Amino acid sequence: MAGVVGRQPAEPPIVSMGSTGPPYVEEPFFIRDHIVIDGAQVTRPSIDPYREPVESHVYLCGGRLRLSMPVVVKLGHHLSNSFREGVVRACYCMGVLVMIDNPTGLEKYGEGLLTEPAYVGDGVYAGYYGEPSRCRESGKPFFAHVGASTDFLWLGPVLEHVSGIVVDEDLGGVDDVEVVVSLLDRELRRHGVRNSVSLVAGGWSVRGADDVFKLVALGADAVMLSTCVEKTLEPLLTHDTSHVREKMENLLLGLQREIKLLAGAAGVSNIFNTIVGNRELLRAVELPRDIRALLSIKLAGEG
Amino acid sequence: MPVPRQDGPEFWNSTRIEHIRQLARFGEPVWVWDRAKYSSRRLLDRLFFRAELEEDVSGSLASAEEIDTSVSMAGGEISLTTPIYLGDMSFGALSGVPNIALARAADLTGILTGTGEGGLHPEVRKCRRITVQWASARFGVDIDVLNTGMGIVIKIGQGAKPGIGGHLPGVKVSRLISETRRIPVGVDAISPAPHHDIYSIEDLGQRIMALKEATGKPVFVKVGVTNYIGYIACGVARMGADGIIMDGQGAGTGAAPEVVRNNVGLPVEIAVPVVDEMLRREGLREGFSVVAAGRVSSAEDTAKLIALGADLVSLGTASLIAMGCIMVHKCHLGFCPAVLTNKIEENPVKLLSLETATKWVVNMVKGWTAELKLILERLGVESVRELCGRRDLLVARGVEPSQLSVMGVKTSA
Repeated sequence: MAGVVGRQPAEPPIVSMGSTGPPYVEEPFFIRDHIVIDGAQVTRPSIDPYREPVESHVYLCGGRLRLSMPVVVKLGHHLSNSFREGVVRACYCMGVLVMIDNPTGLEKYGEGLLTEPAYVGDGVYAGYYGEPSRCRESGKPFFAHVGASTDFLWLGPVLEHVSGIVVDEDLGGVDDVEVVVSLLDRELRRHGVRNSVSLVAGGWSVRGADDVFKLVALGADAVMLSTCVEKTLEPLLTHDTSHVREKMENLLLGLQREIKLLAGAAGVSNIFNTIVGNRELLRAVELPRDIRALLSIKLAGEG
Repeated sequence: MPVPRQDGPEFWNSTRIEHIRQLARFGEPVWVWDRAKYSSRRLLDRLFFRAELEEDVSGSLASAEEIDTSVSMAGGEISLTTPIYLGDMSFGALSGVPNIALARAADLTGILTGTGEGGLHPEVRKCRRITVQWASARFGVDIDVLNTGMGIVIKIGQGAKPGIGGHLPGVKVSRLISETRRIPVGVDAISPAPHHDIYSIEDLGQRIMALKEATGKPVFVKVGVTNYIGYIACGVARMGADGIIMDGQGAGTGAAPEVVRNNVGLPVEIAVPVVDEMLRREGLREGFSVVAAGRVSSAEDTAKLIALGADLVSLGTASLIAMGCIMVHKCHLGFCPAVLTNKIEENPVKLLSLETATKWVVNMVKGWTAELKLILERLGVESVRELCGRRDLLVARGVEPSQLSVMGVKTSA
């Protein structure tokens, strides 16, 4: 335990005295700031995340892709090559997929990369992502890359070709990512394809393991980190690859441990089987009725 | 040198800290209605007593002095002079002197204090009005300890980290703590998340009965407030416990993972009316104590929580502030600037004065009670027992309507 600051890397931070977080102290900014997670006690036991195993891996595209934790990292083209390679190497070793728009020079990590359809045939990649209409037959999973919008008219025509959907807030969009995730999860179920079509969501607003956990419980299979990774590793932008790799590994390990803490506290031993879309683990504190209906979560205090 | 302070938003702001310090210094009421409530976002701060808004002083009572603030627990086996329970803080999380001060203050004022998980300090053991805690790691628990206090608290969870066990960082495990808890020096003491012999309500029932048979003392169950708190409270009551201590989101802790502290658990003000209502419906409320904990910062908070359906409140952070806490949020590091939660050393360089600390807590309890009496006078209520469950005395401003209907409180017209 991190009793002393910096005692061990990748330890979930330990703090003391009462919470200073949203919604009741810090001002809530996102819908998920009004959402709290369950803790298991008495009627069912919690799982000791420090001592007992909690399986954090998830499967995408009907089992064709496996992630060691419900996290996908997206790297923009504005970052330096050494930085990108450090992050990609860490994710490759840790079993986390990276979305990268230009994989040139990183082909040897191809099995851990999702890239643009333009690179079909240039290497062995885990899968591709792009606008729903740009799907090309490559034998690999294809993710429809869309902004945060609840307008799902595009979905029906392409549903046969895509094996996943990435809701990316960085592409813009007028709706809250929580609402899009929850509605899209139900929309995919309505079409009867939820088990084979995966849902990845996230972007600039994802701040840490708590956001990952809440979005997964609202229906995402994995959550995409973009700004979060860049901001965390910003001091290392000019450093060499191995330094970036080490810090990125610590970041991923720390996130995984925090996700396991939250799951253990909720009495859950398997993220993929029990948390994905399990809105019963969440309660809304003072969210208006219409938003609760969109998210289909109950109000705090409702049994 | 400037006093270290926590940056950023804080519930325990300077108004609240200053108010508690005034109480601790003089033992006199400072104000009737809590003025700090306008500076925070909490739901409880947006509930108001009609009497405050209408300024309708009923005047039916001769004076606040005649108001009866006593409450009884466990079918009259324990009676408290005022509805205050000093929260369970362990020897190890606190540095010894504060533990003794809290226990002595409880003796002097006729209330009750919890002793937390880490075994008993020899001086605390001499005090009468304490409860001993039976937590998941069983640190320092034997039959002598269980027989010491007025009651036993089975700690299932706490508000700052429901579902996660207690944490005592290795830096604070000194030789004295290692002897009390029987663990190696310098090694983290992380209690198991669940009790490995309590996996259900039935298991809990067996433990409650076993403890009652072994000691003949009342047994209380402490839980964090979570999604199914109503069912949990009913189960606890059905299994023969004498009360439930509900610790809400925002409650203090000596050490907790940040991600759990900030995201797990519900505020206690939402849980109290739900639990009260459900217990009444099941016919389990009579003789069963409901203790509300977590961010109880003033007598008005106390009155509101009791009006929502609690019997008494638990003060943890407030009692630390009375002893000089300035909320730097660094209890887990072992160098508390107020010498409350620092590492316990053989020859401490600085030490809290036991006499002063005890006096401050006694004064706080007295001042708190005096303010509570003034509030009850304004409400036209003759006793704390009469106030319990009077949700009709409250109105809300700026609270989501459906949240209010869950709580059974009306919105202000």
